[in-house]
Amino acid sequence: MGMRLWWGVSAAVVLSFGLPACGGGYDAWSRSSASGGAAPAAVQTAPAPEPAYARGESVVREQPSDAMYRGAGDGARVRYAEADTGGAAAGGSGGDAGEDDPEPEEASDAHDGPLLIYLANVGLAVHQVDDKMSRVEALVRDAGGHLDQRTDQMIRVRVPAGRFQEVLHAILELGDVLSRNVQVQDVTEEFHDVQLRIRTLEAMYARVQRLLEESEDVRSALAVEEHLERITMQLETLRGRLRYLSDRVAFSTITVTFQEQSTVSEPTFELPFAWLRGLGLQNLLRLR
Amino acid sequence: MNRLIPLMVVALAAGCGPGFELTLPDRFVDLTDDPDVSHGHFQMRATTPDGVVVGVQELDHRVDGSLTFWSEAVTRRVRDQQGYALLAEEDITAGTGERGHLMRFGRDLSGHSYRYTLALFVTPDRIVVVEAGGREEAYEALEEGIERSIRAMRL
Repeated sequence: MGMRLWWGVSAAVVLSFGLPACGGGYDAWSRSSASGGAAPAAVQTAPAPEPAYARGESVVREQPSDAMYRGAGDGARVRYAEADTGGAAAGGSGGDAGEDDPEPEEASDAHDGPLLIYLANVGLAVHQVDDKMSRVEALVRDAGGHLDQRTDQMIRVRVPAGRFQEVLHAILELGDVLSRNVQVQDVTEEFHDVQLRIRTLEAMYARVQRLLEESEDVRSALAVEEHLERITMQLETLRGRLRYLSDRVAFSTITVTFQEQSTVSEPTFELPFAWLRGLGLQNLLRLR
Repeated sequence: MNRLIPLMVVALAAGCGPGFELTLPDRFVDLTDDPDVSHGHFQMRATTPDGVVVGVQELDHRVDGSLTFWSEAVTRRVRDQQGYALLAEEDITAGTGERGHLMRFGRDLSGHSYRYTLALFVTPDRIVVVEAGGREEAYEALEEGIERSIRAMRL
């Protein structure tokens, strides 16, 4: 019995590391999920309004798609729901992976569009900084977003993806815009890959846990528990990544920076007229 | 209402060109002849007690740049490189008919908001640069009078 158990554990470990990477574990998950494995997040997206970029706005699109903007529409959400934890693969005695985490609800792999992360960086001229930062905060609060970070020269906010365009345009109206950059990152493929790896590991966890229940001596039980621990750690890492991606898709990030262009860009062309370099308040107001 | 006092600066010294005449609101005092004041490249400077300062430079127009060229050069320098907010700009005419361009900027320094106005007059021989600035509250109270003075400037 001891040898059989060792072979079982070894095979389980090999599969636990091999299957997620090879991408062929979907069927395995489908079978195991029926026996109680925790399911991945359901993703719901809705069409977005076409973005209206103007005035030479710089837009960087990563992994461009003809449906690039659909994912960040009014209803772009990544939704978690409490799963039936009874018999959930990762919730057994061999580990507490995900016990306190909101478990994703039953999988619904079909979604309407790509999962997109929107990032915007806006450079505003340095004038009435405190007032403008407060107005950015108010705009974001009204849109259902929140402050992420604020310093003397910078404010970073998170806004629901469906309100991204509206809030960004409102921010651009606040002051003299020196620079702007919008990035769109398509994470659909990574999101589903992580989901798949989670499902596979959960199924593996369940199988190894059954081996633990069948173990007949302490040495074997400890070895199996060690493997369960490894699977648990992998699951926690992947679930963390899934939560991160979900959060980034659901809430877009807008960073507004107030600082002179010269400190944030490469050396600029400079006209050879000395009097131009003397312009500004520093020289004008220096009387002594 | 400010009573205007004439504050004449006539740069008639040899090599200084034909000069200019600028009449500022009565809250300003002319510092041009004060030897304790370092004027650097300014031909004239004046200040109010609360730190609104006006300065004028008169430069030889050594290259053939248009008003548009110099206005854009100033904007790139002040706005794009120094981070000033360009609040508004408009073409203006001096009291003696020369075409000019006026730009209103804003800038925070050490946690306080400042205003900075720059007017350019370009002739075939000269470029006259008028700068005015100070703390936002103090400047705004004088802005109208300062701009009226700039538009009435005699070159």
